[in-house]
Amino acid sequence: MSSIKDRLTHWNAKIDATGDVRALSVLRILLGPIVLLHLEDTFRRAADGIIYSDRYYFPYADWYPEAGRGLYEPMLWAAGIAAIAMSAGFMTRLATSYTAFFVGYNIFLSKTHFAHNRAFLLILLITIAIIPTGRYYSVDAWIRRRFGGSTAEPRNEAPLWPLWLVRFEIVVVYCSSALSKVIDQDWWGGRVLQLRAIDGYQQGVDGGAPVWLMDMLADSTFQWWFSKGAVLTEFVIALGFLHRRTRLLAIWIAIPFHVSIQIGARVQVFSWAALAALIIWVTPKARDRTLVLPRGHFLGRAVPLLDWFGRFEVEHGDIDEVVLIDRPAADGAEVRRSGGDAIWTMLSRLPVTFWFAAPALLIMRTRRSGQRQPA
Amino acid sequence: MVVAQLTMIVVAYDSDHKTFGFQMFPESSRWQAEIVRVECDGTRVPIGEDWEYRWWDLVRGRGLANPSVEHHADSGLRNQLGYFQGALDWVAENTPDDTTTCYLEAEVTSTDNGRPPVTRTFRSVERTVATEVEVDS
Repeated sequence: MSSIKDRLTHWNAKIDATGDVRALSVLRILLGPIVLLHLEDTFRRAADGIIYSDRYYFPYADWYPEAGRGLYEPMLWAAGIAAIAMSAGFMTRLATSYTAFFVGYNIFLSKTHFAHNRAFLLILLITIAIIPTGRYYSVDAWIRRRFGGSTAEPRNEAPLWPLWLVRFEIVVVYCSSALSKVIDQDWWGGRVLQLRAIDGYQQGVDGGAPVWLMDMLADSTFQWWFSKGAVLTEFVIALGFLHRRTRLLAIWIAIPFHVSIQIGARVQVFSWAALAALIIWVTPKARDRTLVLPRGHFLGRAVPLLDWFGRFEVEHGDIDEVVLIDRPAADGAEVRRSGGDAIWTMLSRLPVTFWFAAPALLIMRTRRSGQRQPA
Repeated sequence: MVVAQLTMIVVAYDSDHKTFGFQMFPESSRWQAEIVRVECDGTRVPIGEDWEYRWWDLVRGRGLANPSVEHHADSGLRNQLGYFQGALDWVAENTPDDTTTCYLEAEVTSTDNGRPPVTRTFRSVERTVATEVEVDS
C-alpha cells in the first residue's frame, strides 16, 4: 500500500517537474525537412493548381471546416515556409505551432490523408509546439545574442509533462504495432512477410539483390522465425525505452531496425520520423557530466561541436590524461573515469558516435571486468 | 490523452482505417476491381469506354488510381476497400457532365493474405440524373 502511495507521489511530482529540453531543439531542426517531405506531393499538385477537393477525398465529418482553394493554397505554402522557419528556429513558437496546426488540419481533411506515419509525425510536431525549443540552435537565439547582448548560455528549463506524454505515445506506437502482429496468426506465422517477399521477388532481383537472398526471404520457414524476430524487436525497443538502464540498448537496436524498414518497405516518412524521435529519450538534464581535458587537447574543440544535447561540461586542467566525472552512482558516490574509459564513455554519449562507440565501450568494460576476476 | 490514445487503439481493431491505432503493415493482401457505369436503362459500360471522365483524373493516391490492375492492399483489405467504396460514391456525386449513369458498380476480387480469391460487388450511391428538357417556343 505504501509503495503504491510512493509511486503516486513520485508521478505527481513528475507532472510538475521541469528539466532541460535543449535536445528537442535538435528534433525541431530534423522535423522541418520531414514535414517538407511529407507534404511534397501536396506541393507538387498545388503547383499544378490541384488541391485535395479537386479529386476524391473522404471527409471524416460534415462539420469539419474545409478550406476552399483561395484559402487552402496560401495555408499550404505558409506551412512550407513555417516548416523551414521551424528548422531554422526563426519565430520558433509561431513556426512550430503553425506547422503542427497545418499538418493536423490536413490529415483530418480526408480519411485518405491518414496514415500511421503521419499521425506519428503529428504527435512529434505537437510536442515541439508545446515545449519551447527555440532557445538553442535557432535564429531566434542568434538574434537574442547578437542584439540582446547576452553571451551567457540560455536556460532551457521547461515543464516536462509534454515530454512524458510523447514518450508514452512513442512506446504505445511500438507496443500497439507489435501487439496487432502477435494476435494475427498470419503475421506471427510468417505468412504476411513471406507473401510480401514473393510479391517483391522479381523487383528485388532486378534491383540487384542476390537470388539466394530473395529465395531465403521467400522461404516460409525463414519467415516463420523472422516474423517473430521482427515483432519481438518492436517489443524490446518499446519496453527498453521505459527503463533508464536499457534505454541506450533500445535506441541502439531501433536505429538499424528503422534503417532496414526504410530499405525494405515504402513507409513514407515513418523511418525518418522514428529515427528523429529517438531524441526524446535524451535525459532532460544539461551538463551532468564533466570532461576534464589536458590543456590544448583537440577534444576541447571537438566535444562542444558534437555535444548537441549539452551533456558535457568541458574544463581544462594541468593533467596528463582525459578525465570524465560521470553522473553519480546510485549510492551518490562520484564516478570518475580516466584515459580510454573516459574517452569511450564520452563518445558513447555523443549522438554521431553513439552507435559505434556504445558497443565498443561495452566490450571494453566486459573484458576489463573479466580480467579483474580472481584466478 | 492517455485514456483517449488507449481507447483509439482498442477501437481500431473494429474500424476500417484504424485511425491512431498504429497497426503498421497489417497484411499482404491484394485486390483488383472492374468498374462499370450502370445507365438508367440498365446498360453496363466499363468506365474506360465512352465516358466524359477518366477515373484516374478523379481518383489518385492510396493505390486507387488504376483499380483494374491488381494491387497490394494499402494498410489491409478493410482499409483499402473502405477507401474504394468512398471513391465510388465520390465519383458518382462529382461527375455532373455525366447525364446517363445511374450508379457505378464494381466487381472486386481480393485475396486475403494469399488465400483463395473472393469476389464481391460494390455499388456507389444512386445518382440524380439531370434530364434535359427541350422547350419549344
